[in-house]
Parts: sequence; structure tokens; C-alpha cells
Amino acid sequence: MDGLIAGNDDAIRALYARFSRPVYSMGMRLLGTREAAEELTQDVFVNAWRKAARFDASRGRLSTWLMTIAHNLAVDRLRRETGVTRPTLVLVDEVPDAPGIDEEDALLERDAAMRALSSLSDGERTLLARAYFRGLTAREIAESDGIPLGTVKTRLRAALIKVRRANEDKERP
Amino acid sequence: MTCPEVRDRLVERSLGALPLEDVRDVERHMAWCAGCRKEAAQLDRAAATFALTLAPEAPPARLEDRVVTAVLKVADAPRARPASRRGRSAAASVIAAAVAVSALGWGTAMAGRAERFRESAKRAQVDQFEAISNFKDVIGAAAFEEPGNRVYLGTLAPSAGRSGGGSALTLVSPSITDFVMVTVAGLPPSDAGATPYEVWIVSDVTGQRLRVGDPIRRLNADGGAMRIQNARDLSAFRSVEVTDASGAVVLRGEVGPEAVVASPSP
Repeated sequence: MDGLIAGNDDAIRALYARFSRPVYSMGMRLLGTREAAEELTQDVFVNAWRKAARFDASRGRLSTWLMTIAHNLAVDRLRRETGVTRPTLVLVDEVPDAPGIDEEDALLERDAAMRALSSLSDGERTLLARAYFRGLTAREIAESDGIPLGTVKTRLRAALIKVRRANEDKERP
Repeated sequence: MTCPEVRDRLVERSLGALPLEDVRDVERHMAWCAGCRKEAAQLDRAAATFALTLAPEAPPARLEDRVVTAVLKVADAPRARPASRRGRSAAASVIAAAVAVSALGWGTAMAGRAERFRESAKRAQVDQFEAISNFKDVIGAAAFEEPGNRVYLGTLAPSAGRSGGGSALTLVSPSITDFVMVTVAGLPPSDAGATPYEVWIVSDVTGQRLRVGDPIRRLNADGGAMRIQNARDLSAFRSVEVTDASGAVVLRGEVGPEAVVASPSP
């Protein structure tokens, strides 16, 4: 990160090599086109440089920090460009795998993430995915499903806290 | 927004599903609330787990050079684009001025008071500068620089026989919600009888008084606190007062003029 802050070419390339794939994948899933995914990837790394001094390794992993930036930017863009069609809901179980093209660290990280999500029921996972991958608000979900807004909020919170606890458990020595 | 109101929205925020009209209010609250910031960061991490489960797709090879070039260009921007730098410096000077002028006010206010309060006010000032910088990061310097936005500054001086000081910053905008940021410091933290303190802004036109944020029931060890209030139109609210539990005014000041943002630092 120090290299990134200093604008070091090699440091930027190293960070790109490590994280460009998940960021680009996020762009493809949420924005739907290669052009938009490329723009998102560029914006994420530029934003990461701008915010690098605020990254605190003791409070979280670099991967989750970058993916949070990526997700926020993607959602902002989706909302800004009203003409952009939201992509079809992608459930993690239905995501096609691509063996052999990933790096070991990224594979391990993805595996850990999958295990963390395994703590959720199918319903919880689908609910969170509708919000996270499609940007549906709790109110939109409530109206779509015909259930009270408070119920949706409670379920979203309970599900996300389950994921948080699963992450904490896996990081506990 | 209060902490419970913000906490109620943090899950949706982390999932990127919070309605836009709520996003700015939540972010502003978190600019000064460490507890909600911590909760949000933990939920952000949980939400990011979803992103990491996506099957990785390889970006085109040409993208790497494009990204590196873009980052290097931004990293060099302050040197390459003096106009942009002036803009940022202007925003920074607003904040620096608020703190520096406040220091003068505190220095005067502290004359004849206990030395420990002089020192504690200085330490509080440093803490406040950091808090204000964080606030600027969240709101964005653009909010201060956008054409049509007006920023008013002022210092808060103690009433006779009182100690402490403070500063106030009001942003009036045609495009975003107006807000006022008030910092106080050097108020005796051990003076339990004086709390809760309340911060008020007063309209010069109508005399209407609006309370800024919640009552200050607890000061930090240096006697400092910060409160933010949103409202529809704050252009006429130039007077700022801090009252103690009895309603007596302990600090008072006025914000203005906006000219301070129009004079960029060299």
C-alpha cells in the first residue's frame, strides 16, 4: 500500500495483478458489459490510490476493502445511469466456475468466502443477493414479495450478521 | 440522524441498497460517530464476501496499462494541474482557518484560566482537526468548491466568566442539503452540573432558533464535542450559541462571510 500511495508503478501493477480479476468480475456481473467493467476496474484502482492512506490493515483485509469500493462504485453507476438494465440475478451456487485461470491466493479467498456463505440458508442467500447484486432496496423487496418492510430489514440484518460471524470464526486462531 | 436511525440503515448501506436520499445523511453521521463507523466497516466486510464468491473473469490484457496510467496520472495531478490544486487548497484553507481562528479565540478565552484547560483545549483542537478532515473526506472537497455553494465560518467565544471556545462551519447549497458543523472544546468536562450542553443556531431574519443535533451529555476528556445539523435552508442562520443545562449561554459566535473560500491559498 505504501507503494500505491507513493504512485509506484510496480506497486500499482502488483496490486492490479492480484485484484483486477475479482474487481472486473464484479463489473461484469453488476454492469453487464465489458466496456463498463473496464471503466469500473480503472475507477476502483484510482479510488484506491485516493483512499490508500485511510486503509487500515488491522481492521480488515485488502481484498474486502477493494471489493467494497468496487461495489459502491458499481451501484452508484447503476443508479446514475437509469438506462442501464440491471443484470439477471446471479446466485452464487449458479455461478459457473472457471478452474485453472485463477491464482492460488484468490482461489483460497474465494473458497473461504463460499464457506462463509454456506452458513446461510438458500432463502437468506437469495435475499442478500437480491440486494447486493441487483441493488434492490428493502422497500423494493418488501413490495415485490408482499411482505412487511420491517420483516425484510430484519431478515437482511440477520443474514448479513451470520456472514459477519462466519468471517470472524474463520479468522479466529 | 441519531445512532439508532443510522444503525437501522447500515445493513442496506453495506449491501448498496440504501435509498439515495438516506445515503448522505448516514455518511454525514458517520463522519463524526466512531461507533457507527465501526459497525458499518464490519458489515461492509461481510457484504464484500459476496463479491469474492464470483467466478473470476480475466480482464483484457490491455486494461493493465490503462489502469496504471490512470492511477499515475491522478497521483501526479496536484503537480500537473495547478487549477485543481488551488481548488483543493481553498477547501483545505477553509478548514484550517476554522481551526486556526478558533485557536485564537481559545487562547483569549483561556487567559487567566487553569493551565490544564489551556493544554486540554490544544489537544482537543488537534482531535477536532482530524475529525473535520474526516468530515471533509466523507462530504468531499467538491461540496465546498461547487459553484453556487457558500461556506460561512465563525468562532465561538466564551461568555463572561466562562471558559472554552469553538468554531462553526455552515454550508449553504442550491444542490445538496445545507449543513452546519459546530465544534466546542475546553468546556470543563468535570462540571457535571453544566451538562447537557446544547448548540443552537439562530436566524438573523426571523429570530428562529434551531437546536443543532442532540444535547451534549458527555464531553470527551478534553471537554470537546462536535455536532452536525441538516436543514433545508440555513442561509439566514448566522448566529451560533452553546447553552448549559440552565439555559445560560456559555459560548456565542457568528458565521460569515463566505469570502474566505474565494481566496485560494498560494
